[in-house]
This record gives sequence, structure tokens and C-alpha cells, in this order.
Amino acid sequence: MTKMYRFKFEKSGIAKFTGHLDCLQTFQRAIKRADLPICYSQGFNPHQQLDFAQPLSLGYTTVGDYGDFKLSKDLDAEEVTIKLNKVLPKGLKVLEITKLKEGVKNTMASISAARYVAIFNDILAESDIEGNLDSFLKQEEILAMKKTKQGVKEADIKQDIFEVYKADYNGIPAIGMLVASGSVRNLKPESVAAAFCTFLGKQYNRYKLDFERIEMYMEKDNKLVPLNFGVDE
Amino acid sequence: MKNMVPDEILLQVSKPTRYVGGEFNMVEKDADKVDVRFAFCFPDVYEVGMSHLGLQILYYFLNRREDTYCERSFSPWGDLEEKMRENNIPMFSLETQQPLKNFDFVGFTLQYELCYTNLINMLDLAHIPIHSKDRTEGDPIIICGGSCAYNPEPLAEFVDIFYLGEGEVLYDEIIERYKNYKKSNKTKADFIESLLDLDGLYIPKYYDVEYKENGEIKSFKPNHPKARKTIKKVIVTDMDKVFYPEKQIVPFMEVIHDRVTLELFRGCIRGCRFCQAGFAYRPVREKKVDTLLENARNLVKNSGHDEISLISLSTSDFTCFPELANGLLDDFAEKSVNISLPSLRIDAFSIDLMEKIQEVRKSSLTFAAEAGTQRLRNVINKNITEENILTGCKMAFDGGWNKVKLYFMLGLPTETEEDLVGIGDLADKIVDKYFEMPKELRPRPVTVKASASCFVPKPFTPFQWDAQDTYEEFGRKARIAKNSVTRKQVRFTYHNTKMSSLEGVMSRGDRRLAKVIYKAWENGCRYDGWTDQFNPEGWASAFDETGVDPAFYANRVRSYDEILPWDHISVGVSRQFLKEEREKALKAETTPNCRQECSNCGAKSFGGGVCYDKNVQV
Repeated sequence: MTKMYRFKFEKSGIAKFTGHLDCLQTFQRAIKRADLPICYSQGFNPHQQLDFAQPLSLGYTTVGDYGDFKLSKDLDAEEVTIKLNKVLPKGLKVLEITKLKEGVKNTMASISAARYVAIFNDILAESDIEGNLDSFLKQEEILAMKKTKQGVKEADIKQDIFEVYKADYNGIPAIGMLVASGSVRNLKPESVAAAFCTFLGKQYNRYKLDFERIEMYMEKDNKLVPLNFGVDE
Repeated sequence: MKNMVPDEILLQVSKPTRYVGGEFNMVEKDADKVDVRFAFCFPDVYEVGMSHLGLQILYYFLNRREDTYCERSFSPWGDLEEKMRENNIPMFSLETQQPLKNFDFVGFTLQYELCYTNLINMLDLAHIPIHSKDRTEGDPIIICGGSCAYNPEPLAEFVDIFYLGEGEVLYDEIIERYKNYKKSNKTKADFIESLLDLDGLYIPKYYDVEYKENGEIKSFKPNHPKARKTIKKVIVTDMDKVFYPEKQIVPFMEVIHDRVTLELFRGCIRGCRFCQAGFAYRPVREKKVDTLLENARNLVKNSGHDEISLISLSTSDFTCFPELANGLLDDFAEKSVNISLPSLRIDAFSIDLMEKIQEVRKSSLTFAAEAGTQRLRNVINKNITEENILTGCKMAFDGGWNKVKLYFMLGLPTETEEDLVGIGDLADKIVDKYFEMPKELRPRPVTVKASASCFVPKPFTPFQWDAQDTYEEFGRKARIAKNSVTRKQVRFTYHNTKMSSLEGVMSRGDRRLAKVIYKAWENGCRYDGWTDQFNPEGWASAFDETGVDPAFYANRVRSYDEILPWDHISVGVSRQFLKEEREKALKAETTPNCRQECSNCGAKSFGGGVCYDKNVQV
């Protein structure tokens, strides 16, 4: 009897330099080392039935990413978590595994929003954030450079920003945000951070910032809930 | 732990995972609590170095000692090099992210000649004086091994110690002696001098070279009473007792060979006359099937790789190959682990085996024909006949394969136009073979890829005295071979000829090349083995500015009585044997392989391996 499992994971430290596909492969190898009864796709080039909800940009850390995998056995979720964590490299850690009930859409199809923290380090001061966020959000439109299939162009990102707030990050200037995420509407936190810097008249430099994904959400009864909410058996 | 390269820079360079370490199975130790720190450096990028079996073996071999911490360092790509220079970031190790200058030993493995500028570059980035004579007590000891160390002379001015042979033999002894030196009030120079009584180590500063007016070597003499006249390589004699790692470092990123590597044996019985490995690694020493199966189980379990690759110079020559292959299939077929079989002879058994392991996918079949005619194949002692190839292809086509790769070399000694035309003929005949099958059995089109590399005469081969073709000559020959192809299903490609010419200079070079390498590095040459990075102008002006004539090294026939730059080194195979082999080559006479008959090459002196197998009549 096959079973779908949803895992929530963390990526920290040097693991943030591992790209999306390499990270997927790292999990695949960990699953083999843990000797889990993973299911393979059929066809010419069988691969493990394992997917992430959404790629994480190179350089980002996360404490709230998700993925799904399929095992040929019904195993205890806690036990699978322990087995995987024993064989994952430093910086990657499974936080929680949920066994999915029948009929749950996969993470990739489910996700509609994500929460991030953008840490400005020394390019902004705490005082830049306080008092300016409100007026930033109250703008008629919020223009930012957005990458599309046609190339980079300026677009209004206001409707994709659900929340922006000052984040508490050990005294380092940071903002938290909830933005649209997924295949229909998607906004990168970099666009928000850059737009905010422009609004303040400050120079934005992607490489001086740190970004962390905090949580991924899906819509349920018109509310946003984490991807592992209400999906268990 | 802090990375040597700040995040801000890592985010701006390509493939930053190359530089941060932290992979699964990386060894972690407290560097302050070990006696000896060893930096294993690979003078190429991470993904090339991490695919090198020797690195994985030596890394765990050295780290099995509690008193030693072996770390890794790889050549930075150009984008990072630029940032390192801009920000004064020194060359560093992956494990502790500390400068190479803090290490006791900085060791390089030399796998190909076209990495020498990278070695210079890494020393420079490490802020370690590039020339051996400029280094002082505070600098690490630079030690080099690997196949190119067998002709160490081009790097003699830069390197303190060359290690000739297999790493497992001497490193324990070297480390013990180094620990004693550290406890004493002696200097590093004293320590290096104390190694003179060990075979397998060549310390260039204890030898002086004089040259004749015509450029040949006049004399090559030790200048220290304890320095040996000839330094002989050291090798492992019992492959079942020697250390083999139970795990491999599992990179975060895709590397060239993403798989578990099983080493079946060292050496080769064949004696193809162009092949340095075939002579330099003699004699053949095999592992037992049980040892290998245990190695495989450990490595797969501890790495999570989904492919096992069998490594050797000629897989089919492994005496218990069917037993091993079946054992691996039994163990791994169910576990979605593929088995890859490079350098396999195509025969009924291997076709059957490939059917079993590849089920759906039929990758291409490869034949190393090396030359276009039987005469020339006899010259190089390549024991594959046209009939072997065509029969092999027929079997493969019957089994459903439709892609064939052929490897050739251009510029082999005695080569004539007929041999070049033979390349196209052979490729055409393979296509004909395909069309001999009834139409219903060939649903897909056949493709034959013939690729030609340029012959580079190497030290310790029977052709070590021979001239290499000039690159213009290579170009002319490649065109003849290309024009000899008539079937449209055949694609002919050939290797960058200028790179082969440079390789030809380096592989038989002497100490006078040091200034050329240094100059080329100053001219910006890096990654000379990368077609898209190779800078022929930088090298041409380096030769010009130093007044060194590349043709003297590459395109000249040597006489048997000339002193060759590597004559003070012994790989066990005697100079006399190589000379006899060359004479036979010129007459297109072949030599039987080591299992058919011993030809008394000299490798028996190591006291092990195929030379002592019972079925060999000596």
C-alpha cells in the first residue's frame, strides 16, 4: 500500500548555496541512505517520487519549506523524520512529516502565498523602517522590476503584497512580508525589498541582503493556512 | 564556522557550493588538536577533483589517523579568482575554511599536464612563495603525486617533494617522521633531507642538471651523498589488505562522476605502446570479488548514490569479471542502483550483461580502435582486430543498439595516409553492418561517431623517444581522415590540436620549462586543459619571451643514448624493455599480454601481482 508524506524542512548555513535541483538530489540521496521504501516513477528514466512545493532562490535560507514523497509502505511519520535527519547533511533538517489523507493536492499545486523575512544588514537603519512602512504600502502603486518570461520589466506589485511589517531580527534592520506565491501569481521578496529601498531613496544591493522563507501557505475556506494544515489522516 | 569567502561574494560567483564544503561524509576534526595538517589540492575545479578516485582514497586514508587532518582545496574558477585578488582573500581549504599557508603539507595531485598553471596560481593565491628555493620555515611543504609526477622535471623548481607511486605506501612513514621533526629543534629543510633514504620520493633540489650545447642533457647527478641515483616508485602489493574507504564525500552539486567508484585492480596486462598508464602502473594487482562486493555495499549504503562504476584500465581483463558482475546484479538490481561499465571489451558476455543492467535504455557502444588499419594497430600493440569490432557491432545491433562510438589517434609513429583513410573505412563498414540487418529489425537510424585525438608521446612508453606531429600536421591528417568518411551516418570529430601540442611539450619536458610555465601563468593562462579557457597566444608568447623552443621537446626524435629528463626515475619497467618494444613496434610486431606470457619488462621486481600468478609461465 503506497502512502504520500508531506515534509516540512529547514535549510540553513552553507546549504543555502545549494540550488533547487541539487537540493532535490541531496534529499533523494538521503532517502536512499535512510533506506526508505521510496516509490519510483515508471518509464524510461525512473526517478524518485519526490517533489518540492517551490524552488527556493539560491542564497535564501528557509525554516518553512515543504515537499511531498511517496513510500510503498505506511510508516510512522516520526520514525521517518528521525531516519532522514540522521543522514541529511548539515544545514538540511526535516522539521515535521505529515501523512496525507486521500485526495490532498500536492504542494506544488496547493501553494498560494509565502512568508519571508528580508534582512537589510547595513544598507538600512532601524529608523528607516519605522514610520516608513505605512506610507510605502499606501502608495497608489508599488513599482518594481519583475522577471517574466519576456525578460525583466517594471510592474505594479501592490496586489501581490498581502502584508509587510517590521521584523524583529536581533537588532538588525529587517522586514517581514506575506506575498503571493505559486504558479498563478508569484512575487519574490527581493522585489519588495528593492522597491522599499527605492522608496526610501537608498541604494539596493541584492548581495548585501539575507532572505529567509518562514512559511508556505495554501487557501482553505478563504483563509491562508500552512501547507501541512488539515491534510493529515 | 565562517566561510573564507563572504556570502556577498559567494552569491556573485558561479556555483558557490564549490567553495563551502560541508558535504555529507566530509571529515570534521579540531584542527588545533592534530599534529599534522595536510591540504589535498586538486589543480582544477571542484567538480573535476571530486570525481577523482585517488582524492577520495587518500582523503580517508590520511584522516583515518587521529593525529592528521586532511582537508581539500580546489582551483577557483576565474570569477572567484578575480574577487579573491580584489579582496585579498587567500587560497583556503574547504573543511576548516582556513588559508593553505597554515598547513604543514600542501599536496597536489597531477592528473594531466595541462593543469600546471593552475598549480602555480593556487600557490600564488595562497601567498606561498611559488619557487621552492624561496620558501622558508613558515611555509608549508609542497608535495606532488599523481601520474604526471613520473616526469616531475617541468615542475622541479616549484615543488619540494615528488611522491612516485601509490599514496597508501609511504604517507604513514612521512607523517611519523614529520611529527618527530616537529618535536625536535630541527628545520623543515632537515626534515626533507631526512627523507632521502626512502624510495619513492624525489627531492629535486638534491640533483643538478647540466646541458649540452645542442640542448640535450649532458648530465643529471645527485648533489647530496644520500640522494639516490635512481628513485623507484612504490606500490601496494596486496590489494585485499590495503585500505579502501567505506564512504565517499557526497557533493551538494552535480560533479563529473556522480557515483560510487569501485577499483577492480591497478595496472594493465595489455601493454598498448602509446599508453603511459599501461607501463607506469605495472604490474596488475587485482582485488578479490568478495572484497569488492563488500566495498560496493558499504559505499552505496553510506553515499546514497544510484550508480556504481567499475574502474580499471580494462574492465574485461578482471579475471573474475562474470562473478563480480553477477554479484553486483544480485545485490543492487532491486535497489534501483545502476551499474556502469566503462572500458569493457564488447563480446557475447558483455552484450548479455549490458542487456541485463540497462533493460530499457541503450546507450552507445564504445570501441577504442585507436588506429585505422591492422598494421598500425600492431605497431601500437592494440590487440583489437577489425573482425572483433565488426562482430561486436553485429551482436550489439542484434541486441537493439544503434549508436557506436569509435576512438582513434592521429599521428601515431609510422602512420601513413592509408592508416588515416582506414579510419573512415572502418566507420563506413560499421554502418554497412547495420544495413545488413533486415529492414524490420532496424527501426531507428544508426549513428557512428568517430573521434580522433592527437597522439602525445609519453615518458615510460616505447614511444618516449619519438617525435610528435606538429599541430599543422595534425590538422592535415584530421582532414584526410574526415574526407575518408563516405557514409552520412558517420560523424567525425577531432581534438584541439594546439592543446595536444602543449601537452606534448609538457609531458616530456625538463627543468627549463619552469620559466615557461611561470611566464604563461603571468600571461594569464589558467585551465589550459579546458578548450574554452585555453589561451594559445599566452603560451606562444611565454615560449617567445623565455627563448624556449617547444619543438625541441615535442617534435624531435631522441636517440637511445640521450639522457631523458625522467631517466632518474624508475617505474619498474626497464629502459631496455621499452627500447625493445619500440624496435618491435617499428616492425609492426606485437607483444603478448602479461597473462599470456611474461615479457620480462622488469615490473616483477615489485614482488607481487600478475607476475606471480600461477598460470603465468616465466
